[in-house]
Amino acid sequence: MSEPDPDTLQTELLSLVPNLRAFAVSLCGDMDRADDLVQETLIKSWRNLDSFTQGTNLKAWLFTILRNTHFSALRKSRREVADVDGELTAGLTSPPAQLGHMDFADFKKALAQLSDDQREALVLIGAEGMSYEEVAEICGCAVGTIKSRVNRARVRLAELMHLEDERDFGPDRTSAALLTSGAFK
Amino acid sequence: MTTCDSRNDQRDDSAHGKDNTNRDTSVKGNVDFQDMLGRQLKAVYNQVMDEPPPDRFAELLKKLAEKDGEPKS
Repeated sequence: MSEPDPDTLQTELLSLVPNLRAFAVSLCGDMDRADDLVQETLIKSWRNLDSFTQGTNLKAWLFTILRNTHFSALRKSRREVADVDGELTAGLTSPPAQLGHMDFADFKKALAQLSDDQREALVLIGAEGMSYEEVAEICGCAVGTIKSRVNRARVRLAELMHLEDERDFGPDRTSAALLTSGAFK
Repeated sequence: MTTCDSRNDQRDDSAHGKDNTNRDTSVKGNVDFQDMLGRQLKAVYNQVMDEPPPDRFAELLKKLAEKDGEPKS
């Protein structure tokens, strides 16, 4: 076992902090919490360096630690606060603030409405530029699962953006679109 | 890239000429729209990526390295 050079590693970890922050925000939707997640990830990774094989994919390894940390905290808090999903769906009924079908705020809102699984897969593939294989490893599931999550995420995002665009959508249309997108099973 | 998967091509014929009436059902046919969504997604992500990270992370890593008892200090 060759000990990793701490200086090199420090530099490499630091260079990945922007990616970790961007990914963390996409998971939790909040910059402060995201930074806490990144901090936790860095500490955990440093303590578990011996489980990382030098020369393999450091970014994927860190992303795995970050998303596992996030989702286990989320599971814990969902046990305490039962109605996180209810809050999310309640947000759907508020009218879109701006017109313009590619409004940035609308897009962010639509992205936040995706399921955690779908958003995670979409962000890693579409924004972080990872391969399906890498993402499958990070999320601990099959490549085919990631592909279908990404596809469903794209379809649903498009639906949500079209709804935003149509301004006068009513509850019936909203729920119809959500139902056909498979959001509620 | 985020844009099209093979599915995007399949409905093109049937969707042709009905652009305004089929938005609810044939989202798949709209390659340009998916392309724009892809660019928006990257823009959201890069907004955070391009931000200089707070100093606390560099400081944290330095502390972790020092704690490790490496012959540095």
